[in-house]
Amino acid sequence: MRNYTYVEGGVFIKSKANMAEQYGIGQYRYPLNYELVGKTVTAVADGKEYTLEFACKKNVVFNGAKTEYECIKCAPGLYFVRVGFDVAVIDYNNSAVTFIIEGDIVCAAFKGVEGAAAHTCAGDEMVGTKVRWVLGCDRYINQEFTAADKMNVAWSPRDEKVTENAYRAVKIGGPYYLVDMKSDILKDVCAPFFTDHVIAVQDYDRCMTFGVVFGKGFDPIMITGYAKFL
Amino acid sequence: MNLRDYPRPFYAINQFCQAHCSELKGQSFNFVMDGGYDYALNFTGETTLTWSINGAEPKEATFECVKGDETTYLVDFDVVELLDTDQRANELFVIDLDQRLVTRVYCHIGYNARLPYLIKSNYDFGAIVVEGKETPFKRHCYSSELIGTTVEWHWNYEMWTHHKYYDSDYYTLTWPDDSAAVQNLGGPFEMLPSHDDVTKVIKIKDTMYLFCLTEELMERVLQGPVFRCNNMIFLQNYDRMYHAGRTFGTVMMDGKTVPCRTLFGSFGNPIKLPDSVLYAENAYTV
Repeated sequence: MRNYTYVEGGVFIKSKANMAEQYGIGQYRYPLNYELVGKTVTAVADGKEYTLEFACKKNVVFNGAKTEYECIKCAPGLYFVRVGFDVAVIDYNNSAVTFIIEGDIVCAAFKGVEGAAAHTCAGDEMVGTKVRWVLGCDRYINQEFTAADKMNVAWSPRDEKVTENAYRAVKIGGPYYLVDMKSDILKDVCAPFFTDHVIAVQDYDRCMTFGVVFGKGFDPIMITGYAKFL
Repeated sequence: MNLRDYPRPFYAINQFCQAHCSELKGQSFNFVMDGGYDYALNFTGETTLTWSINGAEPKEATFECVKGDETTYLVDFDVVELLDTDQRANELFVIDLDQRLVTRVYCHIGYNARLPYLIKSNYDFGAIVVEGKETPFKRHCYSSELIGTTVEWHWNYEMWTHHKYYDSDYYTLTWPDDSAAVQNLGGPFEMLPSHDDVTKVIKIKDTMYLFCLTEELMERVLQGPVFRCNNMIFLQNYDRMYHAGRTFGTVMMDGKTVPCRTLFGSFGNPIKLPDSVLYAENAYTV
């Protein structure tokens, strides 16, 4: 398809740069990654076993139940996986998986792997961090970590509309944290009205984030973004 | 802890690059190329492959891979026998599984006695041969469709630059005063008569272009205060406004010339540039 049209006196060439509004806050989402296809991950937490069998590019068998998934590679050996309405952060570097299953965080270690160590709670390690995650053109979320379980949040374009939200954070290791932020109903911002949870791996080395936005009335939105410190 | 202060290394253009993608491990490809030199790539491991031309003995290489979208891969590797010589060479392929098409860019250094670090790029187009399927006759192609596009590319959390695509063979680079590009790029680039440099644009699909840029003025005009010459190839996704790519060239570091090789990536947004930039003359062309 040509991007120019003939006009009187010459041609008009349309710019390829665009706001990609059709993707909303999912605009910068990196290409989905398929490296896990054909792999099985078995992990254990509190004596309970969790198994993910990645059958193909679309479906995973999670504890015996087939469901669809999407995966973004965050870093070498580190994958953020949306498994239906749950999440698995698979960390081959530490032989660990952190699940968020029906809202509960489960830190598990690979079964039968020597030295495997489950991720742990981040405590107040993130307190003092004030960061903007840019998820698309003029679409971002500001997060200020004020306590081990509370943060101040604003979404573009309403920077002034700051709300205090609950969050939980898991230390993945090194610069990586998994942050699960509960959201209130939103109005006139770049995120959907019924946004319920924003769950993302935050990488403070590369200053990027990879995750998913869940809520009522819309399909989960996989996200990628870059940091601007505030 | 304010994680702004996390002890990270210095990043210039490589902070927002994708992690290496090893999805192609175990796959083999035969490319029929319009230039008459057909290629076979066999991805033997997560970072290793063998390659051969027209059925010759396969050679081994270590490859890098990033993705433009779910089905488009940018794969590149240095030619092993030329590493550590003055005539390094890099093979780059855009493997487009959706359209079963391929673009090859072969870049090499050391062909020019007077300007030894200058990089020459050769381009070829072809198709992926799949048994039982008709080989496509369409090809990726040179394109002028980026003309008129201006983008702000964010390379790391404090550096962004502006690209103006106004010609098939040249582009203009600028940056705003609040970008770390002022410190990271400023000096040497400001010594040039203008920030235009040599490009080639290849259309991969309606919303994806391979933007090939050779920073050769540093070598030709300034004799290399920073880059002796650097080739950057961007796989630009205008559907989502990001790109991924690689560099191949020679850079000055601590007074020595060393290979400049890195993967990079950035996120973009449309930018309205001032008329003084939009209508600036290219100082290198008549």
